[in-house]
Amino acid sequence: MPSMRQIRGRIRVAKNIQQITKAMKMVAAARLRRAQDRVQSARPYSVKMREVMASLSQAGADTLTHPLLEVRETETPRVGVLVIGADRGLCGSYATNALKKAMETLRPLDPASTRVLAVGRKAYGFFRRRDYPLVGEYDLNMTGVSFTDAQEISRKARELYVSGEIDVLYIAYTRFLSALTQKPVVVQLLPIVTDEIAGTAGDAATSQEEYLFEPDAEEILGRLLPRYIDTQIYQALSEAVASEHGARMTAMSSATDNAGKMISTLTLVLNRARQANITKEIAEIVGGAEALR
Amino acid sequence: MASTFPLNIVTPEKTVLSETVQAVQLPAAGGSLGILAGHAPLLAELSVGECVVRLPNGAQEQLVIAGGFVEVSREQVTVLADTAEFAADIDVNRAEASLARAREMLAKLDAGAAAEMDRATADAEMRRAQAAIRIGGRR
Repeated sequence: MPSMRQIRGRIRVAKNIQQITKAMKMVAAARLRRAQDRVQSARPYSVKMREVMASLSQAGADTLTHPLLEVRETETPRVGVLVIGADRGLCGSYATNALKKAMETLRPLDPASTRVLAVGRKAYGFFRRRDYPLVGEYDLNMTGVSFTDAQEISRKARELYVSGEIDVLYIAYTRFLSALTQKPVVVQLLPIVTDEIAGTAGDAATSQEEYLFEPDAEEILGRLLPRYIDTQIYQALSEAVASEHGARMTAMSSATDNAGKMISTLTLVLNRARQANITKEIAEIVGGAEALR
Repeated sequence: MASTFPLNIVTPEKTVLSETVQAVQLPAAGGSLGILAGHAPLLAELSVGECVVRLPNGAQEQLVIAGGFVEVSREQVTVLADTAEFAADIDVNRAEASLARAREMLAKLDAGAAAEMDRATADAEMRRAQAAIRIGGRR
């Protein structure tokens, strides 16, 4: 049986922790809102981008070739994975889930034939301790991803692909479904899957029209594709950031609840101990008085 | 009244403008490009420069646009810009600073030294700052 002093100490600790987790939850909630706005406002651009890509492929881009579209037939393709993980801890299972999903793709492969680009402190920390060749490490800006950040990562990824160091590139990130649910996914980024783009662009862009191109279709495609990859990465980054804030908010919210529960249990134990003490003292006084008679 | 068309200017970070307009003038890669309603479907690359939007009430909006594409379809015009800033939002001092920085980078590159930007980025940055100063200073 711990002494009352010890119980009081534990209650104090639980209260302090609760205050911290509560503050972290609030911060995460505020940042989540901002991150969500960012995801929303990035959407029109990527939708339009898909539409333009769809119009372009309809306008006869099937005959056009570009290094980023070229599918390489090799028996053992060298795989690149762009992993977007957590930047910090205390976000529940978010960090583990994101990495686990990435590992699903990597595990069956020979580490020597892979290349890993890691975004987020937890992600590169994880791959630094493993055999996979880590070719790029980037920090996540948790208060707001900028397009420039995405472009930097994208440039590196495209370089790897074009130079032939990798034959296929996947991106592993956490899709933001809601503040409570996030889903880790792995998506193929390179070579670009054109059918998918045409399929998801919707009917809006499927009018059969002859486009004029300036300078020409090939050149436009050459500019458009890298930009498309930039957009995809930007989208993934902003969703990952929103997911992390969401996960942290949920984790901290339940931590605050748990601390509250612990405080009330400990308070109960403390009260019982105090009561027992008082009863004991009364019994002693009564016993003493009884003995004096 | 002249006919109008819907114009959307979007950047990766946000939708800058979404309005029904009478005409728009854009800095295409091959030179300035003016678009009126009923323009033939077109897909063009944009360079750095100023974009003038004429609203149906005769008012004009000026923006600085850097890079990207414009898609003209039968129904609408979409500008996918890397960056787009309203003339009213331009901070001339900041533009001057980034111009100086870009010039410095170019000078470094000319000297064969390593710089934080590559030539194309520095060049684009310089032209963007110049356009921003030109438009912002006119206000």
